[in-house]
Amino acid sequence: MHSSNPSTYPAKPEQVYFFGTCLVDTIYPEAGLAAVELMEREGVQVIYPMAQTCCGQPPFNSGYWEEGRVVAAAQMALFPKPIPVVVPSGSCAAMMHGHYPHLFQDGRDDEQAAQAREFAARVFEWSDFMLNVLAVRLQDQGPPVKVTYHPSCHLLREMGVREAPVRLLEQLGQVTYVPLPEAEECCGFGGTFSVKHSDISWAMVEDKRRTVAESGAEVLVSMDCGCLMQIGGAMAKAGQNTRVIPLPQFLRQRTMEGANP
Amino acid sequence: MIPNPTQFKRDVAREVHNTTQRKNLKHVTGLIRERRNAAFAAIEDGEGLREIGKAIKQESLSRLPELLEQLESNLTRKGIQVHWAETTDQANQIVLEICRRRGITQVIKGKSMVSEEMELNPFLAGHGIEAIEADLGEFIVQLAEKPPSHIIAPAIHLNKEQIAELFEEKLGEPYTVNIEEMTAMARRVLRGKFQSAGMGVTGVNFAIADTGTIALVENEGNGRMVTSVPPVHVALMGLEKVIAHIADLPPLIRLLCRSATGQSISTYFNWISYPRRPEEKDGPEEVHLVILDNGRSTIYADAELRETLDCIRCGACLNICPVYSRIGGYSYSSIYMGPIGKILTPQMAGLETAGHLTGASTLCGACVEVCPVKIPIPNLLLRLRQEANQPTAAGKEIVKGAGSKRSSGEAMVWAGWKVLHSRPAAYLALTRLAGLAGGLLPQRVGPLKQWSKFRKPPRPAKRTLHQLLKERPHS
Amino acid sequence: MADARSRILERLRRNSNTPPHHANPVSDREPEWQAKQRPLGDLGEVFVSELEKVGSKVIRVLDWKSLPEAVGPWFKEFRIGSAMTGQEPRLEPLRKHLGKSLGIDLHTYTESLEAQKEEIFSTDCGITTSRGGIADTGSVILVPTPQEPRLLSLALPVHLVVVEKENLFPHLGAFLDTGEFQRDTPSNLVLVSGASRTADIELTLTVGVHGPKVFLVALVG
Ligand code: SF4
Repeated sequence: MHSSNPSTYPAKPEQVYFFGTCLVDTIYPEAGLAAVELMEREGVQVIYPMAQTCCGQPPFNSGYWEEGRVVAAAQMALFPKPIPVVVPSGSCAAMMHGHYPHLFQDGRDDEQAAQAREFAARVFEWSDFMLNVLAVRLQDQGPPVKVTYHPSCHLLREMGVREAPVRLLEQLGQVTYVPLPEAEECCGFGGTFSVKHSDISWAMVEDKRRTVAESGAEVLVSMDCGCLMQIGGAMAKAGQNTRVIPLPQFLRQRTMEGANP
Repeated sequence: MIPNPTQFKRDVAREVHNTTQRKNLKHVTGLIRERRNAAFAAIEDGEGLREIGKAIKQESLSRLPELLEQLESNLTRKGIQVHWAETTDQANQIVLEICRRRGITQVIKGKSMVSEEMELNPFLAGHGIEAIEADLGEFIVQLAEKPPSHIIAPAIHLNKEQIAELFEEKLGEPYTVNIEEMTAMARRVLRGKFQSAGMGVTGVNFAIADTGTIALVENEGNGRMVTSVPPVHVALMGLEKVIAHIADLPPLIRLLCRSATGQSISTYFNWISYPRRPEEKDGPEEVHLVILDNGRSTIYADAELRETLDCIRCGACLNICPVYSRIGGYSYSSIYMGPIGKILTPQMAGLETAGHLTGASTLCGACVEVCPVKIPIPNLLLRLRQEANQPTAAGKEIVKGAGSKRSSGEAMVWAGWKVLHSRPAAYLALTRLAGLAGGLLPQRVGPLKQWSKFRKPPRPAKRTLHQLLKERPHS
Repeated sequence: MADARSRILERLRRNSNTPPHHANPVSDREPEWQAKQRPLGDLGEVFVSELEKVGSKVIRVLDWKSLPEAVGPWFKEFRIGSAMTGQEPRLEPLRKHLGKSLGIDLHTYTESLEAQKEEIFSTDCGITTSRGGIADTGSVILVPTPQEPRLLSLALPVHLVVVEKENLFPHLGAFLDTGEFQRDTPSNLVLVSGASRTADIELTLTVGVHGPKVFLVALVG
């Protein structure tokens, strides 16, 4: 966990890797692009290895560790330089930062296990990295708007990032941050859980939807696209018209010249 | 009670729509959570306290066989009889034999999850022995002919109106929703039973090896009654409950009470070290301790899974679990429910029977934040999912039923997934195609059908991030 | 079940050599943790305020001599008609006062539970002394003895207990530090922190389930 110990934050680097995640790649590419551009705006060169696919979490979470391991190993090989790997997702960052060492540890290949530990230590979640390593200062260009934030469970509890996304929102002068009631309760996504246990998932997202409405926000942001797919999908189906948008994309929109909300 | 995947699906589908229960659970678990948080806020370094708790449990477990023997010899020396049971059947037989020897036909019980594990009440009933629950929550669910739906608050799923109806129907008492009056009714009924019962049965919160002491935590005084008034006291414990020193007790009790109810200490904290001694005027003439294995020694064998045995049964993980509060305790069809149930039951009952419980979690990790002994429940769930799904040679199982959940269909899906995601060219081609196909994905079958029940399906973007970044004008 | 015993222990022994995750002996950590806690201040005051927080009644008296007069009014307030003590000489003056001045019907626990069951369960108030108290949790340390058996503090609707201020410990660990429990382990020791209570119905606190409904503490000194 980087955030629990500030000394583990590196100085602002010249170069970083970007691991986009499969969900951002295929469903929310604009969020990925925004994340990259906002880092570039801070004068950091962003390297995006084109051969990247997925962190391996889906099979890992389903008990298919060997399949996860093969894909994880393929990813690690794409990020060899000793520079930070920035990930725009609490969940995928947690997989790479928290679970890779464990996944490779069980004695099968010591070299790979050591590589996994070295790699894991370089993995940062995007909002945490923007605030605590790049020390970004955002200039709001948009009209007044009320925004709430859903903290994803893995960002919160596995990456230990509690404050960063809210601190970033608070830098925006025209944005009123309204807290989400029961914010730290899971939205019910959970990857394959959302379809394997759709009844429970439904019960959970219904409550999340209600709290979003209660917050009075016009916009809901999050750092995990899985949660947004879940909450946004349920709101759309129910005709609830809060805008749902990944945090990097929202921040980029707000801070561009002539920004529209 | 035997968990079963089909039943689980059915129960869950029903219980998520049980609005009364969901309301009751949300209300009460919310209150306990507030109290728990306030209790931790009132002390300095709650995290340090949790670390001490963890250290005590890990240290005790690392010396488990030695400590159990020390406990046994200290208790035996003082006249407390120690029995060992590998299975719940054996444990039941032990209790029955004591009843038979003393001609006991009525047993009064304090709260004991191990007795639930043994299904002691129906067993005794089958032998003509009446067992009555004295803890108010247990008394209520016993009237409803149900097991507890929560390990600390057995009747948490019922509101006062529902309990009032139960009392009216089963006790013939006039209907009242006045909680004080309802409590008084239970007191009246149970007072007589304390005096007439031939045996008191309780659980054990901690068994202390160095002084030979059984420690019992309770608020109602029923535990004290059950261990003081009947001539025989039988304490039932899982073998993981032993700790080395009496000095380990203060941090553990602080953790347990704060986590369970938000109290700094329970109203009664009983330390039992002898049966009635010759010069004493009360207390049971016989005290027995039954040490139950029931799968625990198998859990013990694996260093990672062993953390399951750290549990001090405080119930905090249930109170914070977003799944528990929406499906209720009974959906699990398991004595232990909620997060702790999801790691404990599959290991006790076997993955073939209860492996499905490990899947019913988003791995949100809320339980880890409150667990007083810091059990990494999501990591253990992941580990158990792996044990359930990896191909396992017969005789090589670490967990009972290892490999039993592996289906060729799912294995094929993940094998295909692996190929796709470890070959960038294939991945790029397919993701591009998905973008082009967009809304053409089949929506009436498979995962998308489940997804679309109450959520708008996600639409693959026209251009992937790979494409957007590749096509970007280079600066 | 000797077989069960040896099989269980054998299974455990095969795997018990796994080193503990935390090497520090636990006993070192507890004092360190205690040192971080806010200072308690006057033990008597903390003890009283913790007890009152959970609805117990507490009276402070200077010495044993003033005890009878001080607790007398409680008997009226809680409509106590009968009371029982053990054979504790220090409570003799109180007994005299209760019997002579207040007309309380007095009983003594002299025989055994079996012989006096009905009497015990039908008397209003049990009166006992105590081994002391734990300040930070507001707990009374009861160590029942042949002179003052267990049921006096359990089976009667009201329990009046006398605690000496000099026997207050800041926290439970400090009591254990005296080593007396380890040296001379009593059959039964119970920490009592208020009247019997439950919250099993809608988490609503209700006092007086199976143990005493009223918990009265006289702190002497
Ligand atoms: S797993 Fe932890 S939180 Fe859950 S009951 Fe056990 S000790 Fe309490």
